[in-house]
Amino acid sequence: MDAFHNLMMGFTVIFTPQNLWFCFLGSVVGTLVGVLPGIGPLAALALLLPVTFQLAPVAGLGMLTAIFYGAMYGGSTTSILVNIPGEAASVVTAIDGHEMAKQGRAGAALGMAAMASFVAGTLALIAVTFFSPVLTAFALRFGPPENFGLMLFGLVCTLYMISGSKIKGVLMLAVGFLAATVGLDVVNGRDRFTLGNINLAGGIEILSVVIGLYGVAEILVNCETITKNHMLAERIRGLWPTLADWRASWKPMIRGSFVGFFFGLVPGGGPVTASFMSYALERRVAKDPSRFGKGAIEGVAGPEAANNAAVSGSMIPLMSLGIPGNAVTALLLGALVIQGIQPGPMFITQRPDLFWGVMASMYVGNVFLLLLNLPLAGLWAQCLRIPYRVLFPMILLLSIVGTYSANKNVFDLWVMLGFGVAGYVLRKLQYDFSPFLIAFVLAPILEQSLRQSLVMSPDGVLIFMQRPLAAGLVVASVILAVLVFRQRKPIQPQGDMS
Amino acid sequence: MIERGLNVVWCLLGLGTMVNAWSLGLLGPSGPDSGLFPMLCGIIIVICGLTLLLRSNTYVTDPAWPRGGQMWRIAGVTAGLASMAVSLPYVGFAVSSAITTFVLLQAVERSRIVESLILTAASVAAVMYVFGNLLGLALPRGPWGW
Repeated sequence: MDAFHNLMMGFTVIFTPQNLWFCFLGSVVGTLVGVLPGIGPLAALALLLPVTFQLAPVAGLGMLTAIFYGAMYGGSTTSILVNIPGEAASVVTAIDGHEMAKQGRAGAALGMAAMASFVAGTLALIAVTFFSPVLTAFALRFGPPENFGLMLFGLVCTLYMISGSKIKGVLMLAVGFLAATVGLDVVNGRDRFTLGNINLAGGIEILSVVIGLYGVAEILVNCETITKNHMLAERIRGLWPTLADWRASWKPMIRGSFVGFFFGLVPGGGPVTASFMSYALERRVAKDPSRFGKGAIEGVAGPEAANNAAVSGSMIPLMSLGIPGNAVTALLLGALVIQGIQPGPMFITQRPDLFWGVMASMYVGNVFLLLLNLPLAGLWAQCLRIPYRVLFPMILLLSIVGTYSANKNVFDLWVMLGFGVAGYVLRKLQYDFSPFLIAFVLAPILEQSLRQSLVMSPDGVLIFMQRPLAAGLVVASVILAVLVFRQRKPIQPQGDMS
Repeated sequence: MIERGLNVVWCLLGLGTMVNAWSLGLLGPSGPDSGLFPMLCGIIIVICGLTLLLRSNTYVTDPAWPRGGQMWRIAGVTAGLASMAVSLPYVGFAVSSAITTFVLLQAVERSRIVESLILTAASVAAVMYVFGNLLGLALPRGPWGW
């Protein structure tokens, strides 16, 4: 019942004109980002992060999370109508969704995608509401060694899920940690890797890193081609699915919600993995798997439910443990840190207004998105007509102003540019940036936990084996690490949703 | 070739980190010192860099590097962002962003002049209004006060 009362408190927090407006704005921007192929949710979040500095934390975080799950809604629209997934988690939706559109059932596919997203988003949020406090109560027993073990486990999970070379993933983790150590050591005030540059004394600004890696690198990739957008001018009819569609879809929707929630919860998982897994599951349990790929509505309902549930699920490790499971939640963690808030086991008890306010904003955002996406699906699809040259100057200027706004220091612009060019080159060489960003955000806490553990231990590193929970997490990390390097094929395509 | 060079850079970065971490000190009288964590990072970077350098199956086969016009567009955007970083403190946000955006729209996106002018004016005005007015961010001003 406590969770219910707290959630009601969250609704009182979110039901102010300003908070509702920013939640709505986030839903609109998220849908737009999901629709447009030129910019992913991660790049959009990076570019709009500075906007939240001037806002109350609930409004800022509510807006950023709305962009994240709004992109999941929007991505399905263009996947179904024109076979162009606006973001990676909607790639699977295009397989059967676009086939349905070709058969004249675009309305039913769009309607089911929006309803599945709404149902799964709401189910997952109910689970988050009741699950987070339980996890927090458990995590309150954590000391520095357990925290270290938990973060180690989270990082190894991230490696398990990434695509491509695992060695490159480990390398990115280490480079992320190294980048985070630049600046003054908070324990003894000693300079580390500043190369005598006073601008680096405060460390590398997170905004320069994320805008460089995800914003500028994205601009450079998009600049390789001058894009011309084509659109269909077809009218969309019958947005409400038929009874037969509902009968075929309700089970995939529930299964997709569970799959998505689970993959959101697991560090390294997220909407992309969840949608692929859900599609594979639906094919496996289907009486006639040959229908898949030819316009099966289950192939739309399952993955759409999964990618939205994963967004909510990924908020649990972030909010209750302070561990981001993927690059987007790492960015959200960065946003909280910039606001002077450190999520972790104490977060829900210390800042119930913020935690429950954000949870409530996600309920409200789901309603906004349903209202925005069902009747306006055709309008969103027309946004594909927007040529990249219209977006290009805005993205460029947002990169500059966003980076500059953090410290009002031109040096940060050079750092952003450096990370942008490096990000472009590394993307060509198939490096995944998710481990880098997660390591960069987690490094200060991880280093602190390691140092505190070693200080409090008379037996050095043996402390990680002397405490049962820490030992369990370290052993689990080692086992998973062995599995990571024995894994022959990557789990699935790009997991960083950029 | 580029990837091999990058792998060498990783090894050098790791070695440099280890040397610097050693000079910072690994263990002090009160336990772990400033260099311990970076030393661990340096070791991992060297090991990964060497592995990548020596294992040919980690190399990307035929990476899609930009050629010709693509290369020019990317160089143009990079130079535009760099020139904006240089000029921002001297001429202010409005002028430097307007010049950069216009030049890039012309050179990179090949927009028509009128279209470039409209897009430049709209983008600069929108960003200045949102960040300067609504969010109260003090954007750098030029010698003429705007």
